[in-house]
Amino acid sequence: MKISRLLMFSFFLILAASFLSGCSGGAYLASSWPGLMVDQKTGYLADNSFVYAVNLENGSLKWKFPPDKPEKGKAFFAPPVVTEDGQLIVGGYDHILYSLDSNNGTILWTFPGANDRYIASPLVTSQRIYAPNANGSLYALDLKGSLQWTFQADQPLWAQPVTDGKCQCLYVSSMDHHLYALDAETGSLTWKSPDLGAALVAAPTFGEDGVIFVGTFGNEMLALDAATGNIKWRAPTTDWVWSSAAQKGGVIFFGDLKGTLYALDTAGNERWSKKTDGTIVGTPLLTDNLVYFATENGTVYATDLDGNPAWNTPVSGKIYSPILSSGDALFVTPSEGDALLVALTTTGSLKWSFVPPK
Amino acid sequence: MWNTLIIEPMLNLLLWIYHLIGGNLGLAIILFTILIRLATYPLTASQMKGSRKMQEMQNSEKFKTIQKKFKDDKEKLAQEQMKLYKEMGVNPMASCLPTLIQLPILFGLYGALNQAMASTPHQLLGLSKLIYPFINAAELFPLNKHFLWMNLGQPERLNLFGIAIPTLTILVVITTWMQSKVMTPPPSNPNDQSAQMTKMMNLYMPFMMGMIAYSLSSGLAIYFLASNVVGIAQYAAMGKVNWKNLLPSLKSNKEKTN
Repeated sequence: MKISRLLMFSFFLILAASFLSGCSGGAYLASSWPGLMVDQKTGYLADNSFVYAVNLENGSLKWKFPPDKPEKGKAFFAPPVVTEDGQLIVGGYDHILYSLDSNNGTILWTFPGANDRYIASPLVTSQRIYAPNANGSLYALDLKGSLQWTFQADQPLWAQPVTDGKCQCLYVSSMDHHLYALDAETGSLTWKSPDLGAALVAAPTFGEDGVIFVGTFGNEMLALDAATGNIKWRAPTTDWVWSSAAQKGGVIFFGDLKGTLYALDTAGNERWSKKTDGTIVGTPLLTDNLVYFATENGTVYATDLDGNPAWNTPVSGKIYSPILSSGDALFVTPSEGDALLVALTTTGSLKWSFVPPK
Repeated sequence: MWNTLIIEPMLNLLLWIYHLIGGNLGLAIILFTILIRLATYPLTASQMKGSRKMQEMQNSEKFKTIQKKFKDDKEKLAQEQMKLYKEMGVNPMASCLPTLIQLPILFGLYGALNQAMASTPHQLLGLSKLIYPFINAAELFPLNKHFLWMNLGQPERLNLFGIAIPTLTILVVITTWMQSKVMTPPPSNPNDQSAQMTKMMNLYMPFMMGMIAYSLSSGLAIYFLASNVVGIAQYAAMGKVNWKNLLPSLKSNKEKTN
C-alpha cells in the first residue's frame, strides 16, 4: 500500500510538472526570438537566459551575462542598445532594466521600477534612456538610471520609441491602437493619433517631408503627419504588419505576416510587391542598391530596389529578427536553429556562425 | 491536427464570446467554461451513472460473498468479479472512460486559454495564425486582461496589508476538494484497494490543482475554479450530491447515533 501511495503521488507530481513546464521556465524558451545589436566590432545578442557579446570578426564569445549559470527568472529577448559612454542597456523579462559595462558585462546599475516585461529595446540619446514596457509605461531615465518621468499608454508598448533628432520629439507606438508624440524632455503629450484601428507593435519610421510611416495589425501601412498625427494615407496589406518600414529615396519597404514584401512610394502607391516563402517579421535592411530581408522559413533574400531577385540562401532555423550589417557582413539571428548568430557575406555565403557555449 | 481539431475551435469560440460580451476576458472564460461543461454533460452524466451502478454492484450480497470466498486467490477473485460485472450489466470502464475522453478537451482548453493570453511575441505570432477569418482580430487585440484585481496573463495574488495572498489558488484547492468529496459515493468497503486509491486521488488532486493554479496565469486558474463550481452544481442538479461527505465528524456522529 505504501508503494501504491508513492506511485500515485509520483504520478500526480509528474502530471503537475508537465502542466507547469509548459508555461513557467519552459515558456521562456519559446517566448520570443533573439535580439541583436551590432557596432563595428561587437554584436550584443539577447537570447533567453543570457546576453552575449560576440566578436564580429570571427564569432568568438567575448563575455556573457550572467557570467556563469542561468539565473532563475532572468530572460532577455529585447535587442540591447549601447550609450555613447559605453553602457549596454538591456531590458529583461524579470521586469528589470539593466545597464552593463559593454566591455565585460558587469552590472553598472539596474532600474527595477517596472512591473512587466521589457519586450522592445529602449531608445538611448546623449542624455536619456527611454524604456518601453509591456505594462504600457514609457520610462525616461538619465544615464545613471534615475527615473525622470513616466508616460502611461493604455496597452503594452512592444516597440522601440523613435526620435527624428531635430525636435525634442519622441514617437511611441502602442498596442492601444495609437501613435503618441511626446516632448522628449518632459514626457508631456504633444499629440495622440486617431484610433488607427488595430494594435501597433512596429516602431514608426521617419520619412521625408514630415511624414511618419507605421504598420498595424489591421492589415495596413499608414502615413501620418509628424506635426499633428493626422492620417495622410492608408495602404492595405494582406496580413498583420509587424515590421517597421525602411525607406530609400521615395520608396518604403516592409513585409507582412503572409510573407509579402511591399515597396510603396511615399504617397502610398504600390511600386511592387513580392510573395515569399514565409512570414516576414523583421524590418528589411537597405543598402545602396539591395534590399535584404528574411522569413520565418529561414530564407535570407536579397533583391534589388525594383524587386528583382539577387540571391537567396537558407539558414537553419526560423528568422524573425531584422538582418543587420556591419562592415562587409550581414548578421542573422535564427530561432530554433543550429546557431544563434550567423554571419553572411553580402552575396549570401556563410562567414561564421556562433553557437553559445553549454 | 491537434491545433486544427481542438485548439483552434476552442480559441475562436473564446474570442467570439469575448467579443460578444464587450471585451471582458474573465467573464468570457467563465462563460466559456460553463458552455464546455454543458456540452460535455452527457459524458459527465454517463460517468456518474457508471459509478452508481458500480457502487450498487459492490454493495450487493453476491459481490461481498465472492470477496470473502476468494480473498486469498486474487486471480480467481478477478475472474469471478468479471463474471459478476457481465451478469449485472456493469461496465467497469463506464466510470473512467468519460473522464479519459474529457482529458483532450481539458488539455485543448488549457492550450486555447494559454494561446489567448499571448503575453509574448511568439505567443502573439502563433495566435495570429489560429484565428478564423470571421473573428475581427484587429479590433479585439490586445485582449483586455484585467479582471477584478487580476492581470489574467500573470499568476494571481491579492495584496492585503503588504501580503500577497494567492486567493485563487486557495479557492481552487478548496473547490477541487469539495468536488471530489461531494461527488464520490461512500465506499462499501473503505479498506478495499479501489477505495484506498480513490481516497488517495481525492487527497492529491487538490494539491496538484493548487500547484498548477499557483504557478500559471490567473486566467487558467479562473477556468479551474469555474469548472469545479459548475461540476458541483451539475451534480447537485441531478440530486446526487453527498453534502455530508464534507463534514466527516457530522457523518460519523450520525452513524454512531444510528
